[in-house]
Amino acid sequence: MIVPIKWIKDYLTTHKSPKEIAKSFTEIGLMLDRPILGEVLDLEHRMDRADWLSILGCARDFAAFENIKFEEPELISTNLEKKNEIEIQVKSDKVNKFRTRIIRNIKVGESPKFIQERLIDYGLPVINNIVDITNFVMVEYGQPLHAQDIEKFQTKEIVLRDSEEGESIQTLDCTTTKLIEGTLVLSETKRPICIGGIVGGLRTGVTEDTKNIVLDGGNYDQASIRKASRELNIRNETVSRSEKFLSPELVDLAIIRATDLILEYAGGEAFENDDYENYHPTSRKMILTKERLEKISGEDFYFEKAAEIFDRLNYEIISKDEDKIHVKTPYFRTDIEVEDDLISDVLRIYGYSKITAEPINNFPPKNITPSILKVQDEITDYLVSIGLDEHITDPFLRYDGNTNRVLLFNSVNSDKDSLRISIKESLKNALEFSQKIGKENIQIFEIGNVYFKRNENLEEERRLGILLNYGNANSNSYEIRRVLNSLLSFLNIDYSLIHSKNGISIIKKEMELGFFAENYAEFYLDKILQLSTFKTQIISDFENLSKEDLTFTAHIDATNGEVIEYMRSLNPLVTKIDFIDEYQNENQRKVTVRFFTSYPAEMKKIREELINNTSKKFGVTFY
Amino acid sequence: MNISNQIEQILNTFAEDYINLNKDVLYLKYFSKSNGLVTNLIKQIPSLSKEDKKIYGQKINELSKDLENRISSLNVNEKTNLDETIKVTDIKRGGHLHPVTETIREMNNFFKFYGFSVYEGPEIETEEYNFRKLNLPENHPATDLQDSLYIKPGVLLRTHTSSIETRVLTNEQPPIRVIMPGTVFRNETPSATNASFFHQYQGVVVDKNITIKNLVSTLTEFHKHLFGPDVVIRFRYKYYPEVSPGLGTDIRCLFCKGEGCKVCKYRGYIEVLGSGMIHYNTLKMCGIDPNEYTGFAFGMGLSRLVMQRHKIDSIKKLYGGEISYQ
Repeated sequence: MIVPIKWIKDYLTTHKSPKEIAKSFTEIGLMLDRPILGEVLDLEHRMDRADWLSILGCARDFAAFENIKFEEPELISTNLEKKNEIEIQVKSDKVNKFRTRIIRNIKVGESPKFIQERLIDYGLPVINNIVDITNFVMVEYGQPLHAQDIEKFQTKEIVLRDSEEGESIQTLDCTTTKLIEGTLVLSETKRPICIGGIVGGLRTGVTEDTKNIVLDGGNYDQASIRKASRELNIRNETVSRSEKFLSPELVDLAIIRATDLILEYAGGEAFENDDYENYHPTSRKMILTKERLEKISGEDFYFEKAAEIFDRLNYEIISKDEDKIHVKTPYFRTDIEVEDDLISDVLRIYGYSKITAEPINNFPPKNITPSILKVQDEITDYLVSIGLDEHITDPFLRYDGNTNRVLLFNSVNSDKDSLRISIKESLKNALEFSQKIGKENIQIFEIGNVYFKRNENLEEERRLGILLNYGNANSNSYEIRRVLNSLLSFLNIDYSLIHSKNGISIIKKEMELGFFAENYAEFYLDKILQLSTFKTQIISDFENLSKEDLTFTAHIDATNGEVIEYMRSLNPLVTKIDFIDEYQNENQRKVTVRFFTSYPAEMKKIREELINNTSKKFGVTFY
Repeated sequence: MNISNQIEQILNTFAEDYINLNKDVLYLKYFSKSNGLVTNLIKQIPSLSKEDKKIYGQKINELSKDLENRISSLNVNEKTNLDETIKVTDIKRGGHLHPVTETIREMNNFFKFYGFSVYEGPEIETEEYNFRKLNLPENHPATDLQDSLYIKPGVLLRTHTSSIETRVLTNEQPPIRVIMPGTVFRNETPSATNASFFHQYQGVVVDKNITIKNLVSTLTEFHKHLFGPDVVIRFRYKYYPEVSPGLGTDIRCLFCKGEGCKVCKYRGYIEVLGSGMIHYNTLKMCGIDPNEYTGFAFGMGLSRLVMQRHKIDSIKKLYGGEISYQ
């Protein structure tokens, strides 16, 4: 919100410098957003306070905070003779209030200097007294107004309705806008003359020779205005106000104020015209209790100050006793929802900078950090310790038609309209960058999510991706094996390898922990979590392992991993089975494995069981 | 080897060692009590014949004095690191954490000592957890504060870590004290400062008797941890739908000390985080009795802070793998 200091001084007296004024505005919620230029402040507005889109609204809160007198403009033309010259028909449910006045025999010309100066400071163009006055009142009160030349009407009616298919309108900036069906319009002779709450039309606009005008102010369903203005791609001062929760009561004040100014600076006679109302009052009765105020603020002195602060902010105090205050909220405060919002006002105007600090005294609750985060940190630290660099990469990529891929339906960027299904898809960018800058022996990793669409379900999975480049395929495949072996032994997971669609799968107890191929390995962290133990293993005297080697000739079609995995499942007395050696000749290979047990007396039995079952299952021959 | 040859050999090796070895190593080689070359010569003197003692005893003593003088005249630093053929960079290095991970851990370490757990939530979220439970009804103007990426109606990529907050408030019973680092997603046209993917850091405390003073205390200490003990903190009113009262938390610009400069966009202060007392409706919608429990929440963008700390000028570099670790 642009706030010219000259303008707020119309309603209050302050001798503070622009910098000091900006400091106060910042503390109460209107933060200085840009450097102060001359005597104009650019303050950040945060959507909630519709009344802060008016100079009066900003000045009112500033005065309350500074505890200085604040005076609104005096309104004169409150009671006018009613002549229903133009009939108002409302045929849309998007209208809460619509009020019109007729002003005859005006003289269009330059607006007075004080209006011109304030509009220029604010950043609006100066056009003529009628348009300038409607703009001036819009910024002053926050209520958009609209003036039209009655003589340009062919019928004496304004119909507020939803637009029909194929309609269009030439707007004040001389562009033709095609209307989307269902947009609220003001129309005359069935043709739109204004897009309600968004922009006026050219046909009935005020020009130099306009003599008689109809002035209107409306309050419309804010959600429809927001939607329509985005669809039509129209952003202006009117839209930014009418799409917020403005109080319908503002319409009356603004139209009276504009009439007063027009009569004074453009002359003429004003009459009341037809109007329409269908809304609930925005003021609400609420109670502030001393108990709640203390519960939130942690102080007991605020309650004493509360009534006075409410008064400064235009609340009506209905009653006050020892432990509660009944108030009626001001009509313009459409943001107030719950008792805590009243507390917020008390603390804010008393001053946030005066809140003192007090450490939490309660006993800390139990730790609920999920164990996957611990595993994730352990893995990260380990990989970094053995020389890998961590990366975090943007998981978006261009949709490639893969039906398992999650597609975003409203992305503004077609290069980023879907999500990765493997860490490698985005981690490879980091590898390419490292190569581009001439790095050698690159080893990088990322822990992050991958995303799937499976049937109609959307799923995300935590994974670890490891990507290397050691210059040639041999070194890469050796190094990737080295890294994954170090990692799994760090995690105390023994594993087997089998061929799979992903390349080579890393398995344990028939569960796939991950896979690797060429220079890349990926692990499923939820599986790793189930298996890993970080306990350092102690060699116990009671676990004096006996071992024996077994050598067999293997069939070509069963992998060593499959055979070993099967052998591991055979006898619970087997502590572990390690792969030792493989020797390949012509069409058969000889494989040696070593089994360990803590039960030397059972050695013979175990050996027989391993040999018999494995021979049967895979048709291999043991030596 | 007779004593005369030994003396000669020592003189020869010393000439070479004097150039190559540093002071300590040189001294130990010749004068170490157990095995110094000169020490060993001296040890032999008692066993020499009378004539030899006369001739070589004196020679050995002179030699000893001479070498000792020459060694002690050496400047300690003069001989060290002269050999530039040793490539120090050949040493196998460790890897690096991503700057974001580094900062998250630094923050977690602070909160750990205040009894906070770390909490997670899904990245693919529902509107209920991402908006509704944060006191954001449909069509509320504040929905405009963010642009969301939708997968299907009602399902989107979370736009802020506040969705983890509504998850923890719904799933856990008070007392609750958690921090929630996480990635968030926005429908943005990429620029140096805006990206569609970045990190936020969120925290929430819910318990009996939690007041705005506890919020001010916790965040003040947190800022001192992040920016040093002399940091100047400013609390101001700021609207967020999920809190009331809401607070914006700024630090005085470290460059201009509040005078206004390019870094702080002439505001004098730099916004670090948003916070506030958790909204009555949010607690209620998450199944916590707002009359029994109160709490505060805070959230901050992590990526901008990391970029400032590491002097990274574009967010694209941070998440595009364009980080060159030394």
